[in-house]
This record gives sequence, structure tokens and C-alpha cells, in this order.
Amino acid sequence: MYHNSVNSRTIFSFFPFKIFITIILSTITGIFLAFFVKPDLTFSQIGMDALPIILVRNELVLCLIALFSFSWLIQNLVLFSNFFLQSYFIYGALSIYGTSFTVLTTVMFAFIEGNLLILLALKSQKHSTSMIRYLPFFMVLMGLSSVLEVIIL
Amino acid sequence: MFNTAKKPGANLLGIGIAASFLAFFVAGVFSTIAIRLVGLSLGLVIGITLFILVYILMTKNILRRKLKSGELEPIGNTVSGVPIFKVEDSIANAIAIGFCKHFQYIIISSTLLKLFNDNQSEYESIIEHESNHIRLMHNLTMVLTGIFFLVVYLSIISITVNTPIIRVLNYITMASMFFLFSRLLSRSLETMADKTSNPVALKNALLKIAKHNTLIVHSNKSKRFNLGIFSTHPHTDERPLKPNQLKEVSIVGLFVSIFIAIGLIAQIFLDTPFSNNLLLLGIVIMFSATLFGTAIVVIEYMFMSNLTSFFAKKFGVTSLYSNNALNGLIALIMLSAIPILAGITNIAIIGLFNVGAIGIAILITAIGTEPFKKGLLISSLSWILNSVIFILAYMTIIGILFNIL
Repeated sequence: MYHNSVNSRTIFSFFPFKIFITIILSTITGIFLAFFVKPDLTFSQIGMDALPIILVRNELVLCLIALFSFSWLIQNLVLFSNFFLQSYFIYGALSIYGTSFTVLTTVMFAFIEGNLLILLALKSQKHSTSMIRYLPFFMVLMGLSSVLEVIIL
Repeated sequence: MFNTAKKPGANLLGIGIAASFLAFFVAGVFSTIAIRLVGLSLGLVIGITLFILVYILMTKNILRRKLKSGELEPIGNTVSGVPIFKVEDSIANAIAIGFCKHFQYIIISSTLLKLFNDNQSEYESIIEHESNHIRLMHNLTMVLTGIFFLVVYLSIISITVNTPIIRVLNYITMASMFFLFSRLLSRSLETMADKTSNPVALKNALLKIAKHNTLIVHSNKSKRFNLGIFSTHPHTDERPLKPNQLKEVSIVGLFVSIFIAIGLIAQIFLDTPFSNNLLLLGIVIMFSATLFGTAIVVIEYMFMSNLTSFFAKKFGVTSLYSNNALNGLIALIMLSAIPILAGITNIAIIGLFNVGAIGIAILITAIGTEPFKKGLLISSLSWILNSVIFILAYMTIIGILFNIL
């Protein structure tokens, strides 16, 4: 078959500047605050009782990003608040307890959950309708991550 | 040589804005003093009377002086007999002043006249738009809104603890609420006045005006960030129709939620000594109250707009304005937020505020419907059903959360 090389497709490159800046800014602000105002943290084993709280919190943040799919500004604000609080707690925990197993596991799960949130926001800001298809899948992944977090910790 | 040319729009807008600004200022200051001397009820009467009197007298006085000095020039009357004046100004714009038979004027800038010199139908559509403002008594609506906020402000300062800081905080809150509310109401009224006999001519005229004015004052720069919630007019692309209001409602929800979050944090910080945990609590409240508040407002709007269109279809009413539901919702949010922001703890007063807020939301949603009685019925049904469902949903969520915790 002859391939017509004259016909070309325009590919639009998409780099998520807004999301990128939001995450960098929120992480830096969280670490900066934790450096001066240390949180009073006490680490203890969390039982299965904590599962509903963690599950509801994570799914709620995911739903908020999906709900605000029409406005990148509010979506980024949701991401900012999530990453700011997580970096504040994690940096505070690292500075108090050092690199213990509990802290590292928390960091790992925060990384996974944060990535899920970023991916959903990316899908939504790139093409808002495609996000709806991915939402149930993301919700299941977030649920799995929360259950694993509770079981391991 | 000194440059004596005024800023674009100063001649035209100075007439309308000077009078309303003075009315607000004079009524606000005198009634605040009067409340301390003669009590709340007499203070309210003095405030309202002063507001209306100063507004009418100042407008008439400014017009008389400008006519004497030759800045204003009468150029004719509309079909309904409203006098039209011309004023020298570099921006293309027109304003309608007044709300009753002997107190109604249309003022047009000289640039607008030049712009539509060769197109009579577009010029007539602009005049019809301004006549609609007078016919539908939009200026009276704005004056009544001002009076309403003045009454709320005076009632709050007479109820709450009367320290200077709280009084100033209340005034700032009320002024910002009034500012946002008056802007959104203004946009709604503009959309109503856009219903002219020749919508195509009006659209073309608006595009011409926007093109000319953007060249002169470089407007709409901030719209990308604030999504136009501080604008007095809807964006020209959205006129006469307004397709999507979700962004607008979310930004207003965000602003009000930030106000509420700041109020809550201020109350906690005033009561408890500072600690690291308190700071953390403040940050968590700030983020969660702001984001969840906005989410609730957006969901409520989606639900409300569907409910009004459903009832409108059922009752066979087609003239229900789509952005009236939005404005009603915003009025409801702001008015029910006022007692929380003012730190009122009396449940009876909070309940009264909420009932009043629902009443005003019902009225705003029904504005401009034909027949008005049917519009009022649709609006009442939608708002009552909406309130009941939302209170039940809210209580269920709170119950679930308490059970989890």
C-alpha cells in the first residue's frame, strides 16, 4: 500500500504548567511552614476503624476534582490544599521521627494518591469529557490504595 | 499646557455614580449616628428616607448644573416620552437614570452617537435597551437593594457587641457583600433589558461598542481571572444569551466560603491562645470550608436550575430567565451567610435571616416572568423543594460523618 507522506496530522503538545506550578508551590509552602511551625504529631498503629475516615477523605477529594472540571482555578486549589497539607505533615513527621517504616509507607501512599489526583485533573483539563470515563476507575484505585494503606500501617 | 481632558467615561458615569455614592455615604453615616441617639426603628426610618431623598435630589441637581453649564444637551425624546440627553465623552455608552414619570432620563455619549450615525436600527435598539431599564424600574430595584443592605447593616450593629473593631469588620463584610450582590443584580437586569424587538441589531451594536471601548480603555483584562463577577454588564459574547454560568456561581461560592472560613478562624483565634495545633486547625478549616462550601454551592445551582426548568415546562412558562435562578441562589448564600459572619448566635435571628433569604431568592427567581403569578409559583415550588431536599441531605451527611467519627 502506498502511504501518502504529504498528509500530516497536527499534534498539539500539552504541558500542564498550571498543575506543575501548583504542586511545586504547595509542596514548598508546606515544607516551609513545617520548618518553622512543627506539627505536634504522634505516630501509632492505625486499626481498621480508621478505614472509613481515610476512604471518605480520599474519595471526596477525587469527587471534588471531578465536580470542578469546568474551572481549572478551583481544581488547582483542591490540588494545592491536598499537597500543602500532605507535605506539611510528611516533612514534620520526617523531622521528628526520621526515616522510619511508618513514615516511609505514609510517604509512598501519599505519592500514589497524589498521582491519582493529578492524573484526574490532567485528564479533565486536557479534555473535560474524557475525565468522566476514567472517574469510576480512579475511584476504585483510590479505594484500593486506602485499604492497603490501612492494612499495612 | 495642562491636559484638561477627563478620563474616558468620567463625564457620562459621573452623573449616575456620584448621586448613588453620596446617597450611600450620607444615609450610612447619619443613620449610624441616629441609631445611637434615637434607637433602631427611628434610625432605620431616618436612614431610608435620607437614602431616597439624597439620591433623587442629587441626581436632579447634577443634571440641572450640567444642563446650565452646557455639558449636557437635550437631543429629543423616546417613544414613551423619556427625555434623551447627549454628553461629550470618548467612550461609547448610554445610561438610564430614574424610575418614575418625572424622574427618568437617558444619557448618551457623543461617541455613541457618532458610532451609530449611519445605522438607525442599531441606534434604536440601544435606546430600546435603555428604555427597558426605565420601564422595568431597574434603578428602583438597585436603590431598594441598597436600602436592604443598609437595614441589614444597621440591624446587625444594633444586635452585636458594639466594639469599634466589630463595627468596622461588619461594615467591611456588608460593603463587600453589597458590592458583589449589586454587580450580579446589575448583570441580571442587563440581560432582562436586552430583550428588545430587534436582537440582531442589538448584538451588532453591542459588538461595535465593545470593539470601540476596548481600544480606548483596554477593558476586560481581569476577566480571565475573576470570570467577570465584578462586572456590571455580562460579557458581550454572552449577550443577549448566557450559555454557561457554572464558573460564575463557583467563583461567588468560593468568595462567600472564604469569608465564612475567615470568620470562623477569627472567632477560634480570638477565643483560644495560640499554639501549633491551633494554626494547623485554622489551615484545615480554611481549605476544607472554602472547597466544600464551593462544592455545595455548585451542586445546589445544578439542582436548582434543573428544578426551575422542570416546573417551567410543567406550567408552560417560557419567559423564565435562566440567570435568575443563579442570582436567587447567590442572594440566598450571601444573606444566610451574613449572621454567621456577624457572629450572631441567636437561633431565632439566624432562622429569620434564612427565611427572609429564601423569600428574596423566590422573588429574584421570578423577576420578569410573564405571567408573574405563575413565575412566582414556579419559583416558590422550586425553592421550597430545593430547601427541603438540601436540609435532609445535609442532615444525612452530618449524621453519617458523626457515625463514622
